[in-house]
Amino acid sequence: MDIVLRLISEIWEILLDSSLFMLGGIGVAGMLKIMLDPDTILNHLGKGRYMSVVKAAFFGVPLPL
Amino acid sequence: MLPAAASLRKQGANKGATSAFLVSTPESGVDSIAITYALLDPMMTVIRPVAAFVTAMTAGLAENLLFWEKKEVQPVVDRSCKIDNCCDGIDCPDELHRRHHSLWEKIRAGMRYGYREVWGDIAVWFFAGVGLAGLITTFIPQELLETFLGGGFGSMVIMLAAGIPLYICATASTPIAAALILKGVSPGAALVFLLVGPATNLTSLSVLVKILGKRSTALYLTVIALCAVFFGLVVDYLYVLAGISPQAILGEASDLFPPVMKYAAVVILLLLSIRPVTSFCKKLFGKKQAQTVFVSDFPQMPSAGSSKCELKSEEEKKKCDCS
Repeated sequence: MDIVLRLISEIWEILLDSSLFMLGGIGVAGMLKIMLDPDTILNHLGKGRYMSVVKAAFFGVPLPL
Repeated sequence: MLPAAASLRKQGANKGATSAFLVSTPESGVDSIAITYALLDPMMTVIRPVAAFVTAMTAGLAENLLFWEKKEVQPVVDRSCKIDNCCDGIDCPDELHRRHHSLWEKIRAGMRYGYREVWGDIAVWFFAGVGLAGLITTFIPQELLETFLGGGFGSMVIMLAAGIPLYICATASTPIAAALILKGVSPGAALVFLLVGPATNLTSLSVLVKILGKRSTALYLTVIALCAVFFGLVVDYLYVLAGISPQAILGEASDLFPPVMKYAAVVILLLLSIRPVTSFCKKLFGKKQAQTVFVSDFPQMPSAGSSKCELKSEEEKKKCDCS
């Protein structure tokens, strides 16, 4: 019983620590997805052999799954 | 993630750009950056996106350097409206549509998208990650993991072996990494898990073979593994150099906020999770058909897909193969 309580309190601690940041993160993520969806990115990639890779890598960093 | 990359490729992006996008998108995102700052520390918050960018660039450049095939494909870009579908992007030039929606409308659409779709996609995984992190902190004895995963090349290789087949998203892997570090796993080994876990899994690799081919998939996997180990070793070195004990500064970010705000955030997050969690449970306990549908072909694009096909003429319906 003790150990179950400890488990619950650990999970509660993690939720407390992360929820506020999570809320902010998914808000920004939504905005980014509206403004920067894969098709918009494709538009910017161009045909370059190397520049297209750098841009694709760069755009992928902030985009959520 | 994979459907988006498949459509990038289909629409004319080269293989290198596609694999770069396929590395950096799952390995990092604003949501996972935020939660890394909350549960880990500032150093990991910076290193994670940097490592993702460098890995993505290395994978893409290696691909285009080694296996470049010149093709003249005019990219087909979906210019349809992302906010309320007010135009399908065919007779709607950018100049005209740019003023169509106010900033407020865009922000609202983005927020709605974030709290419904983005969170809908990751909510269940997030709770699974938090639950697993709780289990690790509660049940795994201190110093058990330290002997195998306390740092060095060996720890990185063990983490690679664990992370490559595993399916986990960047956000859900963060609390697990925090719990592992708390139990004596070196931050570098945890970073390997954070990088490789989201970037690869058994299903995505088999799909990648279809999109990019065997040779390119092998290159993709090799670059991801090498970069992850490299950054893992660098991070361990940085912690030693800075003289920081990683356990001591975990999860300090949320102390900036008053407890009331934290409680409110938990409540809001749980409320937002009701819908995705119930629909997940329905899928889990209901008919088990959903899993087999995926195998065939990719839908065009989630945003450009089914809804717009209804509006188009018969001819265009054929082009838009979203049957």
